[in-house]
Amino acid sequence: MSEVGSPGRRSCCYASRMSRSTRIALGLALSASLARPALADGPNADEVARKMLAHDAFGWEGTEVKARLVLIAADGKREERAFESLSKKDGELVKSVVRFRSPERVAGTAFLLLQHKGSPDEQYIYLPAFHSTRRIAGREREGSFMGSDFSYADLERRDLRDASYALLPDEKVGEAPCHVVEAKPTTESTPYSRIVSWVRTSDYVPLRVQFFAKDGTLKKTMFSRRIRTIDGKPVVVETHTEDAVTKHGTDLVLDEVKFRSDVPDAELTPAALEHG
Amino acid sequence: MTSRAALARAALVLASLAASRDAKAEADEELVDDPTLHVAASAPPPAAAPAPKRIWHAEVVGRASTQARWDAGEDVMELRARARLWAEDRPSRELSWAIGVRFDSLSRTKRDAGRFVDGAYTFEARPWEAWVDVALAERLRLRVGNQIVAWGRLDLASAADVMAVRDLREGPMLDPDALRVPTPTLRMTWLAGERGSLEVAYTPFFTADRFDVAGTNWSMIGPHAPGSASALGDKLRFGLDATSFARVQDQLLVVGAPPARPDAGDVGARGVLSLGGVDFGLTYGFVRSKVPALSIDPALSAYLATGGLAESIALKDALDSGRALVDASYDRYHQLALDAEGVLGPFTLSGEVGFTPSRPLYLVDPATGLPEARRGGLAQAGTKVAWVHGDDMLLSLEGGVLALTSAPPEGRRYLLLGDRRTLSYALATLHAEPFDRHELDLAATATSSEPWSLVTLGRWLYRVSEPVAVGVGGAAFAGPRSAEPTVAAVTRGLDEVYLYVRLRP
Repeated sequence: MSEVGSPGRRSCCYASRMSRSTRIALGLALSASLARPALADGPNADEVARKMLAHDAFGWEGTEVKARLVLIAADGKREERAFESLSKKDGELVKSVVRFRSPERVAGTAFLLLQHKGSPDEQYIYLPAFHSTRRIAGREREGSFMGSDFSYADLERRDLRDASYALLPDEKVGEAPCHVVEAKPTTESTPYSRIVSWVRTSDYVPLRVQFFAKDGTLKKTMFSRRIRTIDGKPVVVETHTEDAVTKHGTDLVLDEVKFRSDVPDAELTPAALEHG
Repeated sequence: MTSRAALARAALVLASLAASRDAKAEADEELVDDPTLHVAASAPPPAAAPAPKRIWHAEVVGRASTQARWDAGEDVMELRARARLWAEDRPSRELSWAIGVRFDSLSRTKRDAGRFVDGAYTFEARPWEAWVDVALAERLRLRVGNQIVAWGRLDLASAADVMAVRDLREGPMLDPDALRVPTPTLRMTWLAGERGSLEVAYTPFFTADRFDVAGTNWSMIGPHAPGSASALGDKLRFGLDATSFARVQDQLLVVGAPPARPDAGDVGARGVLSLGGVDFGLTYGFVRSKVPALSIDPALSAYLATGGLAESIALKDALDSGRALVDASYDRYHQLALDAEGVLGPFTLSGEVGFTPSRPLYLVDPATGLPEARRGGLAQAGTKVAWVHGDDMLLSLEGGVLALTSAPPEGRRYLLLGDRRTLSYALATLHAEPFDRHELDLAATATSSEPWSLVTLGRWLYRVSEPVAVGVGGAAFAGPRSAEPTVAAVTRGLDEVYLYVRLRP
């Protein structure tokens, strides 16, 4: 198992062999570049954000996933919820369905998200106890998704998608150099004032994401813990998200990820939710 | 020996393949070393290997109930338990299936003059959902078997829910899944796209609503049945000898069903179209009334009307001749419904209108007190506002009105409505999980029949562990007392206290 920071360590060793004057020059150049909103010869904030979203390192677009949510209470008590998801990318927009398999009290619950450009996204939920599918209102986006530290809004990723971006000074996460991009959502219904992502420079995988509440305080942080290369593409298969106030945590573990380009549209419709 | 060697070689090959796959998986994985994460990256993964896929499921719900206010000779103490055992799987995108069985048990005893009398126990096992769902084409699905078809937007009086069959034996309930009964149905769904769908459902074998005729708190001729029906029960009980009473009761308990012929079933169709963020639904049903219209043999009718010795003898003769005293029919009717659902701010808004030109309605026979069928038109409309917050709160408010298009004949009254032709209702429900492991359910229904009535239900459950929950609850009924067979009369004096146990292993 390799360390994410390996390339960074190589850079460090290389730098130690450089002459002092070169290091000083590089240091000055770096300081100057950090003072600017974007590197002159590097990508700008929009490019970083666009590449990060296009990379879809969390495997939510055009995939079939078997996964688990592990809810961790502040006292360490754990509760696991298993689910399957199916998603399809249509241009920049995503349709996805999530079906819960366990525990028993949520098993069979299915959730459908249909993203739209220029109009609000649509969300449907199928509750097996009612044997029926119903719409969920947009403002419910702030609500917790199945008891986790993710909100329905987080699943949509609209707050990251419809946002203005700024590049903050680069930082390292461990040994991995990262672009730090700040997204300020432009959607009215967003629960966040800003979202800051540490995006690995080598492959645009977000290694850490911080969500700030409307009052500017830190709401939660999502840490990427394990990355797997699947079909040549890095996918974050394990994240840990922690609420900054309640200390409640959520681990998201992707046990199986299959990239699929053949997901039929019919699978991603409200009427199909009952047929899962 | 050769085969053992071959097996060993095969095992080695498989093991080496597995090992190489594991090694590859490890080589393709990396741990992120983020010092700000309070959990060390070198720590083992937070979750163990995924649990194997579950196919079998079980649920047991037990409810012990007793009257909150004891009325001598009227109260029944009940211990009900229902259990479902089922398996379901989706081996591929083109195929899914379910098979299940449901068990119901009821222990009951009546309290009279300080003693528990008339103790009884019944047990029932019946097939539950058992279907196969196949994709005939990419957009066409067929589900065949015993299944629940729930259409419409409203919870209490949906005009679009034409295929529904309900289990009414436990009275008002908080568990929506326990109220519905699966029926043998063939259902075809055309998934036109995210903008619409079309469903056609056909039930060749008719299933009626489930209800108890006598002996329980919610039976039709029970201790708390409408005044006239209760008097009817008393007349039968005290006017006939025990054997004849048992034989009459047996006949009342067994009601015939339409023949299981393809032309005797229910058929319904529903189309949904999404436009501008609103889902519009149009439903049509050519279905049978799930509550029977009863025709009473003249011998029983005369006995119930007068109760004299001659009528008693005539009734006994009729019983001895093996004649059916009660004939039940489940008449058909056409039902049309239009519904819509959309969102406004944080709320989901739903509405329905429905109309049937002619369907069985129920009058009260003033002589016998039994319901008497009469066909008439029914129009209904309702609306609902729901607020869902995450998965820990669902608040819903529903209101509606049902209007009969014709007045009752001179001297007759509609069952549950008295002299009125309209019934308005309001329903409020709340499901909340205010604290970890705690579940709260509340429901209140007000009806504006004559006289009005209010039914309130509450339940608090505590999940001792994931599979086990225990709780308490209660039901309270308010409304002016009346001898008329109205909603208020049906529920009068039925205030109950419940103890719950729920197992979901």
